[in-house]
This record gives sequence, C-alpha cells and structure tokens, in this order.
Amino acid sequence: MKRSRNILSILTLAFFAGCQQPSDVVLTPDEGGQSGVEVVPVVVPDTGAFSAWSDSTAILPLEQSVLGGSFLLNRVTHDTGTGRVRFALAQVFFADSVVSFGGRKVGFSGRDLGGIVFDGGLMLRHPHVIRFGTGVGADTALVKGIAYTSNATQTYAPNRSYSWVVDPAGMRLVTVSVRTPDDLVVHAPLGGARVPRGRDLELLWTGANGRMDIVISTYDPARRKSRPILTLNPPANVGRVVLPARLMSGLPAASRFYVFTFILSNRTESISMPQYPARVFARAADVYNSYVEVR
Amino acid sequence: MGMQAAGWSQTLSDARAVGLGAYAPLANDSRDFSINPAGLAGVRDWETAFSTYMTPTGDDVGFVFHGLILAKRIGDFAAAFQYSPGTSIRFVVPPTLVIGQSANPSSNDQTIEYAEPFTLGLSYRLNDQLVLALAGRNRRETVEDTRYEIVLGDTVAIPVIYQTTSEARYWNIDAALAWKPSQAVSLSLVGRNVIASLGNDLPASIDSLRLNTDAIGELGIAVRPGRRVALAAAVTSDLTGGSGVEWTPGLGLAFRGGLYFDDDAAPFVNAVAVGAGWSYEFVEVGVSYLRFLDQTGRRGSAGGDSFDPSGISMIDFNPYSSDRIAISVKAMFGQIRESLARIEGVKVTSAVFPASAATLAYKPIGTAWIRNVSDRPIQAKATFFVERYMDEPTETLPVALQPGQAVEVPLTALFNEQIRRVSQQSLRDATVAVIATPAGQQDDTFQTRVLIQGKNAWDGDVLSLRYFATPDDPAVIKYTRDVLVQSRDSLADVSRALEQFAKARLLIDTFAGGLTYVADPKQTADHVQYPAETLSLRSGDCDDMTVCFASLLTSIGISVAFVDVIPPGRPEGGHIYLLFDTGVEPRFGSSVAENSKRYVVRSTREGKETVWIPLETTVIADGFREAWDRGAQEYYEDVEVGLGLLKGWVRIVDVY
Repeated sequence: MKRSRNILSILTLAFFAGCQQPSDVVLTPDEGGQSGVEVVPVVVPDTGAFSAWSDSTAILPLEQSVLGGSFLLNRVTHDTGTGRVRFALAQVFFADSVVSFGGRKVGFSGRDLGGIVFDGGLMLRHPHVIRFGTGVGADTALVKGIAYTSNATQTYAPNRSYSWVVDPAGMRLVTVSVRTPDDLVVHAPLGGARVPRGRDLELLWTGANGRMDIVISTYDPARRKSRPILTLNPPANVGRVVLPARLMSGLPAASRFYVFTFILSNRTESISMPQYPARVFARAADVYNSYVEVR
Repeated sequence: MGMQAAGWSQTLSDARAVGLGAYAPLANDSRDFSINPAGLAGVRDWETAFSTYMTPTGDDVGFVFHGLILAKRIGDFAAAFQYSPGTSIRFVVPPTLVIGQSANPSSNDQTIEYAEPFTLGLSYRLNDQLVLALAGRNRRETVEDTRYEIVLGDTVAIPVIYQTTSEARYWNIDAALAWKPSQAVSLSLVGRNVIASLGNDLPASIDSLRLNTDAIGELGIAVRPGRRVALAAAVTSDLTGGSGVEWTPGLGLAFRGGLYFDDDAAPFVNAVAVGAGWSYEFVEVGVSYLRFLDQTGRRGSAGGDSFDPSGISMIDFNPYSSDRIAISVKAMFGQIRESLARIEGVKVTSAVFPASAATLAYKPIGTAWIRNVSDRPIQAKATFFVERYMDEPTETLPVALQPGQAVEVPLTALFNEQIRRVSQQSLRDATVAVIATPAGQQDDTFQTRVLIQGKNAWDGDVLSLRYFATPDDPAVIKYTRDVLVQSRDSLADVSRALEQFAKARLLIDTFAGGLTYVADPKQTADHVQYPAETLSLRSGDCDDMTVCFASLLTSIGISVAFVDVIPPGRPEGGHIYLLFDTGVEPRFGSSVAENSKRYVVRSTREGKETVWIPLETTVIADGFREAWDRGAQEYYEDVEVGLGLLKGWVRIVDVY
C-alpha cells in the first residue's frame, strides 16, 4: 500500500511539474499564396495640391514630389466592369523648377529637352499642365514647362525593349532603354466586382518578368477621381495576394468604390543625364485598374 | 491533407482509450468518460484519473497536463467531473501583411483557440445489463483578431491596428447507452451533441470559425472470446471509427493495439496505436503511442486556406491532431475491490424460534441467490448474521460458480444464548453477505429481516418441542434429586429391573399433586413453558406438561419420547403425550403390567427392546395410574386400532 502511494505521489508530481501548453498549429498560406506583403500607406505631400495621381502614369504622389526625370512606357487598362479601355503611352518628364501657387508648392515645371525620339519616332512635345487636386482652386490648371508624350498603343508589346534617345544639354545623345514585362492579366478582382468587406479578398494575376505593386485607391465615380491610400508590395511576384478580411473591413467606410491598380513594371535606375543632377529613371509597366465596389 | 470527417468521437486523453482505438464499448470506469459516459457505471466508489501526453513529432517535446477526473459512485448512480486543460487546440494565423508605420499589437493576425475545459458525466445502472448516461462538455471558442482601420487623413491614409477578442461558451450534451447482454459481449450506443450549443455563440462575422456540433451517432461492440482477450470496434454515423484489442496476460499487465479509420480519409486507416498498462492494488498506469499515417497538417503547421473548423468535431482528435505518447494514471479509493459475486435476492423461509434455534445451524433459515458477476470462475459462500443474537456470521459451504452463473444457496444460522432470552416476538435486521474467492473479501451484502419469536414460542412441530426439554436445567435437576433422595427408602425395596419404572412413577406422582391444566396464552405461535417455569407455576397445558415430565425423567436417565397425534382430517385435534422407557425387557413386561396393551415395546437407541409406558400428561394431576391408563388407551386407539404410525398421523419422537 505504501509503495502504491509513493508511486501515485511521484506520478502526480510529475504531471503537474511537467505540464506545458499544447503546441500551436500555425496556419500558413497554402502554396501559391503570399505572406509578408508589405502594406504602405500612401502619403500625399503636404502641398495643398499635387500633380494628380495618374492611373496612367502609375506614379504615386509622394514619388511625384521627389520626382526628377522619368522615361515612362505604360500600357494601361481601365476595367470598370461595364467596359474595358486599354492604351499605351510613352511619357518623358524632367522636373525643373518648383511651381508655387498662393505660397504653396503645387508641382514642377517641365524642362525642355529638345526633341526626343521614342521607338524610332519623335515624341509629341507639349506644355506641361499642373492640375490642382484638392483645396482652393481645385479646378485650376497651371501650364509650366514642357512634357513629352507618345501614343504607343499600337506599338506596345510585352517582353520587348524600348528606347528613348535624347540630347538634354545639346552636347551628346543619350539612349535610355527599358524592357516591357510580360502581359499582365488580372483574374481577380475584375472590374465591376462587388467585394464583401467582411471576407478575404484574393488578388490574382498572371504575368512575369516584372515587379508587382498593387495600389488601392478610393474612387469617386461622380468626379472620376481616385485617391491612393495603400500600396501593397509583395516580396515576390507569385500571382496571388490575399487581402485579409480584417484589412478589407478596415477600408474607409465612406467610400464604396475602389480602384485596385496592378502595376507590373521593369525599371532602369540611376540613369546619368548631362547637366541634370536629379534622379532619373526609366520604367516600362503594364498597368491594370480594376474598379470595384466594396460592400 | 486527407480531411477527416467530423464525426469520430474519440478523445485522446487516457492511455487505454488511445491504445484501444475503439474505447466506447470497453469503457468501464471514469477514464475518458467523455467518450462513453456509460462507462462510469464501472466506478466502484471513488475514482480519480490523471492524464498527460507529449508530442514526439512537435518542436516542443514536453509533457502537457491533459486532464484530471474525479468520479464517485452512489448506488446505481455514478457521477464524474473532468478538468481538462489539455483538451485544447490553438490555431495561429501569422501576419500576412507588414503594415508600415504602425505598431502591430499582436505577433499574429489571428489566434483561434478551441477548448473543452470541463466535462460532467452521470450514469445510471438500470439493471445488470443496461446503463444509461449523459455527459455535458463545456466548450470554449476564443478568437483573437487583429483588425485594421484605414483612416483617411489630409495627406496620408493611416492604418490603425487594434486587437479584438471574441469568445463563445456553450455546452454540448451527449447521451449513451451501454448494454451487456452477456459477460462476453458488450455494446455501446453514444449520441454526440444530442443537444448542442447551449450557450452563446461567436459573433456572426466569424461564425465560420465555429466547430462542428452536428449530432453524431456511434455504435460500438466489444467481444471477449477468451478470459484474457477483448476485441472492440466502433463506427460513427459519419463512417469514422476504430477497432482494437486488449490482452491481459496476468500480473496486472495489459497490452493494447488499435486502428483508427475514416471513410473520407486517405489512407482509410489513418492512425495506429499501441499501448500497455499495469495495475497494482488501487492504481493503474497506462502508456500509449498514437501514430497518424498521414502527417500532413499534423506537425504544428497546416495550410491556412484549407482550414475548416466545421470539419472538427472533437478537439483532441481531428485533422490537426499530432502523434502523441499518452500517459495516464487511475487511482481508486474507498470500496475499490472488484465485486466477483452479487446477491440477487434473499428469502427468509422460517422464523426463529429460540427454543429450536440451534436447529438453524443445519436447517436452512432461508436462501440466497448468488451470481458470479466476474469474468472468471469463483468459489462463493454466503453468510448470515443477526446482530446481538449471533456472535459471528454463519457461513455456508463454498459453491463453485462459472462466470455469469447464479445459484441458490441455503442459509444457516448459529445463534448464541441471547436468543433464549427473547421474551417477545420481534423483527430484526439480518445481513446476508457473499464472499468470493480468489479475492476472499466481502463482495456484496443484502439487508433483510427475520422474525424472532419469543422464547416460549413453538412452531407446532413436535420435533421442535423436544428442544424445550431441559434436563440439565438446575431447577429440574434439583427437583428430581430432592424427590429421589426423600424417597430413598421406598425405592430401596424396588427390584432393580423395575427401578426405572418406580422412579418415574415416584417423580410423576410427587409432581402431579396440585398441578393445574391451563390453556396457552393467545398468541400466533403455540406457547410452551420451559420445565423450570412449569415447576414454578405448577400449571400448564399438555405441551408444557409433556415437556416438563420429559425433562424430569430424562434428568434421571430415563429415555422419553413424544407421541404426536394429528388425527386425519382434524388437525385442530392434535395432541401430544408421553412415552417413557422402563428399561424392562419385553419378556418381563408382565412385571410392569399384566395387560400387554398397557405398554409399548420399543427399541432403545442402543437397539435393545424395552417396555415403554404411555402417559397422558393432561390428566397427570389425577395421578400416575390415571395418566397411564389414559395414555395406554390413547396409544392403543391411535396406533394399534387407527394404525396412525403406519398411516403417518402419529409420530413418535425421541427426546434424547
């Protein structure tokens, strides 16, 4: 009897002394899913006005505020559900001097670089228009300097190298090249989709050879204006990101309509331009804008 | 992952349950009573059980305290309480987003914890074969969620991150039925979640995280093809189940093996288990190892996209359960020995008449029905005991019983002298117990009542009447010695052959003077005075006088017999008178009486024929001669004319 009690005592002590919590089961995303997606709030420069977020340039306002020189080739798709518009545009803009209005910085004047050849053709050289986005004089536009544009809708092709030839200082020609990514095909959400706030939202696309960035913007259909609020930077372009319901439900309730902008891009950084000390880059992007309703 | 159906109701708490695979039909104690609460009927008195486990395939190889059970049996009811912190599983959803510029208050996006910290059970034994039971499992579902709110400022969209906690607490009620039609077969029917979700639920926005509470039926069967082997199988209405075998070679050892299967899983047999147990006195220790054949999702991480709580019915055993080594200890307290035999009924067939109580040492006072309720052959004996009137319980001879066999055992009783002091009829408690070997301890008791008559009560049987004769009573001896001493001179002249006859005549004549015949007091049983009382009262009825004279004569060595006459068709005319042995040989019968009809020739116990004189004691007050005349006349009519001895309505009972 005594022996049994001893055994019981020892085992009882062992039970209580050695107790641990049951191990957790970690629910990891399945293969093909995405984790570690960086979500960055979009900062609008405190300028009272800014160069409008252009779904065609796919350059965020903060980037615009520090913009130097840029060579852009964007193929842009607007998918509203009721219709799909696609075009391609080559743009060149070199910020020159700061443009102020009412004591506040509102944008840059565009430097005149002379003639620029894109893909063998001369780009359209036209005045640079600064539109006020918000605040006083929201409908006001300023014309400051020069910008370059070229319609590339017919010539844009995926996985192809495009070049700009420019002589910014009249001293020597500079050739800037960039390669377009694969075709970007967005599978979800498509334009016109109604997305529940309380559920995970799966973002699906195909298209390689480029970096994927996704921008979530509020959209005002009456004014046809969007405001970027978040950018999603997946660590790798694997074709899928899941926006958890906890984020979806946290989107501003005041806005029902959103634009999900998928930007598949290739960049050429650190381009050296004579007599232009600011940062210059070239980028080719396939941009897809899905206009959705978040309920 | 081979997603398992929700139905399997196995828990993985106790090592025996883990090792068996199909525990429900073999449940017979408090261990893992949540699997089959009807097993609580096997609790003998107090019982407690501890269980722990470790996960050999996980990162943390440490023991988790699984649960503690406390159970108690009260009559046909048994109740149990289980505290089981180890019946818990927590799913963690790591952050999928890295939110810039905001501090996340949690290291995870979401934690979902399911637990059943408390279980209550109650069983009721309807009879030897049927047990009904209920169990209530208290379930807790806790969801800690990280929430984001995007607040639009003038210049920036600010993500605000905060934590929310939602909790559901509710009870699920299970019902169980255990049926044991024989020692070799037992069946179980368990209805899980027959009443479900008694309590509060998770908010509607996350109700998809609720566990499955659909009602599930589970049928189990266990067969014992031999004394040391048990086979068990169980299947649920969802076509999940298990099967197992238990081998008990002796020395308290048990070895177990089990298979778990699921019709929806691949492979069909999705887990195997082995186990061993050892019992010593009141402690039983068990260890088992459970191995899942498909390890997908069972090593601490699983695909989040396929996570479906509606596929989880049991917290211990589900598609995310890991391999485990379970260790458990059961301890019993109080009346813990296994009953080998049970008393199924007792019938007391006779009242106790103090005068003849000694006959109950060999003549049954009643019977007890004893059944072997164990799974082994036993030797059983019953005891009968009446407090105060017996010094020790009187045991029967042992009887051999096969498993399940029942026998009727006659009960005897050895009363002490206190029984002769009972003045009035009374009802006393009597305890019947059964003792079975090899254990040799009391297995079952049965309380009954026995009627104890007053000391003068007589059951009417002449065989019992002789027990009222007390030749050794000092009052009797003193009386006879005094009479003989006083008549020493007159007896000296009597021939030796007639000395016995003369002494008898002297005693009767001496005592008969002044005797009065008085009828019995009105009582249920006949009332018979002891000789000392008759000597004192100098009155009595025929029974009293017959007993008194029988005592007087036997106290001086004269053999006596009662003549019990029950006239045919007229039992109320029953009567008793006396024969005494003169010691005279028949050839000298004429020396006693010329008329041979006045005496009877009988054999003594030694086989010697002698002359016996019939005496009608009711007229003895008129003297020896009259009593003899009347006795001889009656004997002649009853025996020789009526042939009462041959026909059986006359009995002659030797007193000593």
